[in-house]
Amino acid sequence: MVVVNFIIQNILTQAAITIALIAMLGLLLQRKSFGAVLTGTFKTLLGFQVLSAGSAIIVTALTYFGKIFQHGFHLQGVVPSIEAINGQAMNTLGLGNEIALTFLGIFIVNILIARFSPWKYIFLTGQALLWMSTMTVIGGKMAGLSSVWTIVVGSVIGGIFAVAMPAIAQPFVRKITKGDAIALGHFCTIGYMVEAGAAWFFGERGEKKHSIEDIKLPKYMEFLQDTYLSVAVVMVPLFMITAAFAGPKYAGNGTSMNYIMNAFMMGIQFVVGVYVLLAGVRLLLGEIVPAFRGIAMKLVPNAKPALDCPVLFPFSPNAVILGFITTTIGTVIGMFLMPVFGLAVILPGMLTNFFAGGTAGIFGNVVGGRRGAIIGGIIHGLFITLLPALLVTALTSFGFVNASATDSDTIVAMLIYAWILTPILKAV
Amino acid sequence: MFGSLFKKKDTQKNTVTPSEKGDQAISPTDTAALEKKVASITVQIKQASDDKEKRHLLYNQLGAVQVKLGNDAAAITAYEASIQDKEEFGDAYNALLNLYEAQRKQAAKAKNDDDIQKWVSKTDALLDMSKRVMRSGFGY
Repeated sequence: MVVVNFIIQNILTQAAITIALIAMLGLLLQRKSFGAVLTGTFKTLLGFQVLSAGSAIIVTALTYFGKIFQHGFHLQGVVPSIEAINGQAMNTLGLGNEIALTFLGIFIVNILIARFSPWKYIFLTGQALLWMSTMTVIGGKMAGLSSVWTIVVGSVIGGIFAVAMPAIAQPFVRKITKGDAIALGHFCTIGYMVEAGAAWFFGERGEKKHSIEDIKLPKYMEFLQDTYLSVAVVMVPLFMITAAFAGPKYAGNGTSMNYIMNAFMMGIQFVVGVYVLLAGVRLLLGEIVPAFRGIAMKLVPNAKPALDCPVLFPFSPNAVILGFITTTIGTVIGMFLMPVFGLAVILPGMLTNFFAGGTAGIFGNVVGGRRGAIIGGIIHGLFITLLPALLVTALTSFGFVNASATDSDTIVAMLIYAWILTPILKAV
Repeated sequence: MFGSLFKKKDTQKNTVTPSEKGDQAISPTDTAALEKKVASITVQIKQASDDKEKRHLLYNQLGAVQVKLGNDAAAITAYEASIQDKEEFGDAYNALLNLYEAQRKQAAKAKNDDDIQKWVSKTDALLDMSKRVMRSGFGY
């Protein structure tokens, strides 16, 4: 009994161990060799610890940024970063165990739906599943559910999203790829539908519809070649400008260093945090995802794989660029617009603008041509700024430091908890 | 709202993937002509060993012919060689996406875990290439 208690209280409460055991289970089910199971399990454990280290770095930089933004502009400036939310939830808030088990639960529910329903989609973007499990766990905890119910409800909601989102996007994907072999597995689909809807309403139709692919765009996106450079290009100047407004008293952070230089180094620290955290995520998912997708594919042989958004880029590259630019314009407008409605200032997130904005551009273009993609893209930018703004108060009161989520579907999943589940539970 | 998208579902569903094309019966005469074409392109590829630009286009042609012949494995080899010579959006990417998926389905039906991983990993590599090409200004 003493040994069992020791295991329950000291080992199974460690999220790193839970997630490593999940990886071990996947590897054992695949009948991997002893060596492969051992290294895979260890790598997953290591991945969690690297993720934790990245989260700590990000939190330091975000705390500093929140302070200088408050003093510089007398507003709450929030960085939309699902990585930062995941890192803080996993570590600072101690929700790692629930997130790890919900991640596994979503996978199981996804397989069950695909196995026994006509919707054969298997969601293969591991990172997106991790973000979804993070947001459903936060939602469950905010609704006051116990850990077990948080995991069960999160698995069901996340599993439904994992099938429903590719299914909703599929009519558009068929039109874009001119085939039905693959599906889109990216939890920004509701945003894509908003862009498609706006493009249909405002865009070109019939013979007047001109695709953006008919134009040859100039080559100018080199700065996006490196993920971290693209984060730095926006975040570092943002830290420095905010510091200039806040002044040396707050931006100096008690160091002898010049306060602008200090802000520069803090901006770099944020980029390093994202780098470390994503390296941890890759390590963490590197063993789990291949193990479970192998199992999923065997259990649902006629599955339709739902793949990450770059799968669509080659079919409409100009629309990706247009979507990135127009979504960025929308997020910049949204940044100034949100405080007018009493919401926090949501800073534009360049990574989301590139991947979600770019993919949304493809949807806008296929539905409403050039005009549809342009107007739809700006509306998409506004929409993906509004969603994280709606979450800020709830996230801040729950203990999150100066960050909000991105990825529209994960936010909508959490809003289901906040707007539907919580009132029902309170009424019962 | 998106009537045209949904109405075309059935016709879109019938879109023939490279692999499916290969399954359609072709006459012996056509087969002979296509095999002749394969031999001719193979010779041209050998001759263009120093010209990657030309060779990658020839590999694309070879891949397309192999798809028509139903030789999926040979088509994959040709398209992969094309991408190795020049990473770009176009025929090779589009065809490989469908060919890998067809192979993955076969592996899943055979419950061959190693092959499932192999084809899914190859699709992952294709997505990585998509990101690289997109970020580098898609080959202009």
